[in-house]
Amino acid sequence: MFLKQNKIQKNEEFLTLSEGQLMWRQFFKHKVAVVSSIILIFLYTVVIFANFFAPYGMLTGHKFHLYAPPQITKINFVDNEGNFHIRPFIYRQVAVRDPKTLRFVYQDNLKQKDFIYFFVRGEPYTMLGFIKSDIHFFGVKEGNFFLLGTDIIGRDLLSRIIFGGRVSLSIGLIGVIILVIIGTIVGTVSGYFGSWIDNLIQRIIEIIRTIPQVALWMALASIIPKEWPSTYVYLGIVIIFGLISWAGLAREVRGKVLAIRRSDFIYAAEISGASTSRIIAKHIIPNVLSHIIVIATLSIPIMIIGEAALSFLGLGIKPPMTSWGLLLTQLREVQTLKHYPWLISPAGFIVVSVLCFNFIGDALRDVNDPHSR
Amino acid sequence: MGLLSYIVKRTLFSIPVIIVISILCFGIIQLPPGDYADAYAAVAASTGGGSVSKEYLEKIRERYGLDQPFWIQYWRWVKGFPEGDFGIAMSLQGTPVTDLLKERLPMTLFLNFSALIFALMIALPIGIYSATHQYSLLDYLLTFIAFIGIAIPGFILAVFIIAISIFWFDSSYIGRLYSNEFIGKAWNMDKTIDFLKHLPVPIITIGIAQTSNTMRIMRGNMLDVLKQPFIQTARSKGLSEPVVNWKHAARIAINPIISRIGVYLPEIIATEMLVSIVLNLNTIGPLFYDSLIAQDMYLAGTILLVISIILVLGNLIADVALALSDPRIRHELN
Amino acid sequence: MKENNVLVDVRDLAVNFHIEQGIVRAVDGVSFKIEKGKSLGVVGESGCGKTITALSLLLLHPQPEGQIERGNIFFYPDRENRIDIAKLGINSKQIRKRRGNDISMIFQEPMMSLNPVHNIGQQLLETIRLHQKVDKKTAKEIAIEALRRVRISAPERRMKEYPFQLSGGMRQRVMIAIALSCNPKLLIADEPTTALDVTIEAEILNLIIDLQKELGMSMMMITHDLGVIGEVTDDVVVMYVGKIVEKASTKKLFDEPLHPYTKALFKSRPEIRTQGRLSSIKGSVPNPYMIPKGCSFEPRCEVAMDICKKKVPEFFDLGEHHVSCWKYSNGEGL
Repeated sequence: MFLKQNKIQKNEEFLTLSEGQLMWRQFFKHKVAVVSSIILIFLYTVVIFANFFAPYGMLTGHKFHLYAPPQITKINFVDNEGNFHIRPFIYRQVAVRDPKTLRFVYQDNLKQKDFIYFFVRGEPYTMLGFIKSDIHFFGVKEGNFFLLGTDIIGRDLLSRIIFGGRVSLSIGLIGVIILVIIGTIVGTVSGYFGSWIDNLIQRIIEIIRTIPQVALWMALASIIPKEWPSTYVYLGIVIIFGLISWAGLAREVRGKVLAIRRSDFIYAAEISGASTSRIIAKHIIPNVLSHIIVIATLSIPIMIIGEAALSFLGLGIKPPMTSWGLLLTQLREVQTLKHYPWLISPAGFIVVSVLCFNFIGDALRDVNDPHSR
Repeated sequence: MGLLSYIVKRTLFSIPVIIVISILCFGIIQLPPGDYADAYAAVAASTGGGSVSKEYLEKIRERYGLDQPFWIQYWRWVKGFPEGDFGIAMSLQGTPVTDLLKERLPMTLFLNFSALIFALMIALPIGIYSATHQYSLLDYLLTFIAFIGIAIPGFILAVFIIAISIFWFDSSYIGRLYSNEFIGKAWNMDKTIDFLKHLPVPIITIGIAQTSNTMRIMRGNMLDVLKQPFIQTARSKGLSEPVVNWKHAARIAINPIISRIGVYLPEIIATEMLVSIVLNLNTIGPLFYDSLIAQDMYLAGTILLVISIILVLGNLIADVALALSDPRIRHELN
Repeated sequence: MKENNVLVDVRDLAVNFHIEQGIVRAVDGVSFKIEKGKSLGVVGESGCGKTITALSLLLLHPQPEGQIERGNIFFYPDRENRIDIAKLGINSKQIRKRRGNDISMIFQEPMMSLNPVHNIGQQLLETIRLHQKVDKKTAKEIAIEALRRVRISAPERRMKEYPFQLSGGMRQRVMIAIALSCNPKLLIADEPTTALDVTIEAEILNLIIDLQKELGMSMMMITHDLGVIGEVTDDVVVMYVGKIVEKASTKKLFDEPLHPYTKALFKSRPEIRTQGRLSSIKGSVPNPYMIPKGCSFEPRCEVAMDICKKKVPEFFDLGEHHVSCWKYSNGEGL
C-alpha cells in the first residue's frame, strides 16, 4: 500500500530542488548526451594540447614511409616466440619495393620490437605559444609509430588529425559565437520593437534565407583572396559562417520575444518605468536564453560540416593550416581511397563530433521543454 | 478562389524579392578582387601556359565589359532576361549561359525532387512505425541509424559509397548518370533502364540526411498527436489501430513536415551540389563550382539566381501543399 | 440469467497504473450495475478514478501504463449472451465490434475530441460505415438523420463543415450524433458539459435526457457536479480515491446522503441562501503514492473513529442504499 520509505523521500526531495538543479538532473538522465559531452571534452582537450598529444609535428614528413599503413592493428602484447610483454609493442615497419608493381610495400621486421611508451621524448615544440617541451603523450623511442598511417609525403595522419582538429572544432565554436551575437540582437530588436523595424528585418531575413546557404558559403569563400596567409583565411571563413547563418537564430529569437512581449510581467516592468535596455536585459533575454543555447549547440555541427565541405572542395582552409575537411581532399581521387583506405579516418572524427553535438543539443532541447518535466 | 488569389499574391510579392536577390547574387560574385581576366591569367600561369600578355588581358576586359562600373555590368546582364539571355560563360568559350542551363537544369531539378520524395516516402512510414512501437528494439535501431544519417555529411557519404562500390560492387553504376554508350543518344527504353540503374546511388546519397531528419521529426510529431483527445475518440468508435495511426494520427502529424519542406529544399539542394561535385554528375553543382573558381560572373551569378528562384518556387509549392492538406489553413486564406 | 434487466455488471474491477515512481491504484475494486434503459451517475473529485472506470468499460484506459488487475466487466448484449469485457484483448476485434456500436462514449472537450482535419460528414460516415453494412447513399442519409436528431440546423450543410467552424455546443452535439449513430445500448458520457457555458450546458443535458428516453438506451454519466447528477441520473455511485464509498438511487442519495464524504460534497455546494463562508472539506486528496491504511477518507473525516484508521470499511447495505463506512456497521465486521 505504501511505497517504500526511500521512494517517498525521493519524491519529497524532488519537490524542493531549484530550477537550475532540476535542469541538470534532467540533462544527466540523457545518458547518451552525457557520454557525448565526455567525448567532446576529451576531443577538445586533445586538440588544445595538440603538440603534446600528437606523436609527431603537423608538417613532419618521413621520406621512407610514404603512404604507410596504419599500425593501430599491429599493436601486440605477445611476440612471435610466444612471450608476453606487459608493455605493448610493434614490429618495425620497413618499406620494400615490390618488384612487380614498383610500389612500396610495408613489412614488419620481426627481429625489431619497438615498445610503446607514454610520455616519450620526441620532436621539440612550443605549445600554445609559451610551453616549450619535447615530451609527447605516447610514442616509441626508436623507429616510428604511425597509429593511423601516413599520407603522400609521409606525414603521420593521426598527428595531422589532431592539429586539424584545432581548426575544425574551433570554427564551430567561434562561428557560433558570432552567430549568436548577431542573431540575438537582430531577433530581439525585431521582436521587441515591432512595426517597421520588424518588417524590414523580416524582409532582409527572408532574402538571405532564399539563397541556399551552401551556395552562399561557396561564393563568399571564393572571395577570400588566394594570397592571404592561412590564418587570415581561417578568420575569413569563420566570419563568413557567422554572417550567413544568423538568420535562422534571429527568426527563432524573434518568435520567442514576440510571445513574451505581451506578457503581463513585461507590461508590469514597462509601467513601473524600467528602461528599455533594462527590460530587455533582465527580463527578455533570460527567458530566451535557453532556446538560444539549444539552437547554438545544434548550429555547431552544421558549421563543422560546412567547413569540412568547403575545405574539401579547396575553397576553405589553406595549407599550411590543416583541418579535417582539408585532410580529405586527397580522397577526391577515387583511386587513392582504394589503395590507401586509412586516409578516410578524418571523416570518422567529423562524424563523431557532429553526432556528439547533435545528441547534446537534443538533450538540451528536451530539458528545455516544459512538457517533459 | 482563396487559394488561387493566394498563389497570385505570393508570386507577385516574390518578384521584388527576386530582383533584390539578383543584385545580391551579382554583387557577391563581383566581390573578389580582380575579375575574370585575372582569374584567367592565374589559371594560365598555374597550368604552365606561361604568362598572358597585358594587352590580351585588356582585350578580354574590353570584350566582356569587365572594366565598367558595377551598375553597367549589372544592367548588361539583366537586360537580356526578358529574352532569356543570361549572358555568356566566358570560361567556356562564350557558350550562352542559357544553353548550359538548359543542359543541366532539368537533371538537377529531377535529382533534387526525387531525393526529396525519396526521403519523405521512406521517412514517413518509418517515423510512424517508430512512434507506434516506441522503445522497441527496432525503434532504437532505427533511431540510431537516423542519427548516423544526420551526422555523416553528404559529400563524405558520396566518397564512402564510391569506395564501397569499388571494393564490392560493380562500379560502373557509380559516379555518373549514364553509361558511356548512351551519352548523347536519344531516349529509348534501353537508355531509360540504364539511367534508372544509375539513379539509386545519387538519390540515396543526397536524400539520406533528409530522410534521417524527417524520420525523427515524424516520430516526434506522431508521439505528440497520439496523446491528443481525438485519438481516443477515434478508438472509441471501434476503429482498428492501423486506421487510427494512419488515417487520424499520421494525417495530422504530417502537416508540420509539409510546412517545413521550404526548409528541406535548400538543404537538399546544397547536398546535391556537393555530391554532384564529388560524383562528377552532369548537374549544376560542378558547373557552379567551376564558375566560382574562374570568376565567371554571368555563369555563377545566373546559377545563384536560378537556385534562389527554385527555392522560392519550392516554398510556394510547399505552402500550397500545406493549404491543401490542412483545412484550417485553407480557411484562413479565405 | 435471472436478472435480465442488467446491461453491464462490473464486479471488483481494479485498474493499476505502472509508472516510474511506483504503482498507482487508480481503480481499487469497484462494483456496480447499469440497468437497461436507466442511467447511472458516477460522481467524485478529479483523480478519484471515475474516468478510468468509464474508459475501462471499453478497454480504452491508457496503455501500456494502465492494466486491469482483476475483476469482471460483464456485458449482456442480448438475453442469451454474456461477455466479460475485462478478459478481451486490448484493441481486439471483439472489443472493437462493441465500440461505437453497442457502447459509445462522448468526452469532455469537444474541440480537442474531434479530428480537426476531417469534416463532420467524414467523421460521422466513418462510424456508420464501420458498423453497418449500408451503401454510401444510405450511410449519408443515416448521418444526416443523426445530425437532425441532435437538433442541429441545416444538417446537409454541416456535413461539409469542419470542427473549427462550429461553436462549442454544436461540436458537442456532433459528438453525440456520432456516438448515437449506430443506436448503442449504452452511452458513456465523461463530463460532457464541463467545458461548456452554463446555458449551453442545460441544452445539452436536456438533449441527452430526451435522446435517452427516445432510444431507450442506458447511460453512464461521469461528473463532479452534483447538480448534473440530480438532473439526469436514476442511480448514482460516489467515488473517492479509487473506491466506491456510497451507492444508491439518486433520490435516496439526495434525500439522505450517508457517507461523510458525500455529506461534505453536498454541503460545499453554494446555494442562493448561503451566507458567510462556503464550507469546504478540510485537508486534501491524498497523494496517490501515499494512500493511508484503513479508510482513505479518515484523515479528512469529522466523525472518524479508531477503527477507521486500521481497517478498510466494508460495504453495508441499508436497504438499497450501500455505504462503505464504519459508522453504519451495526456491529458487523468491527
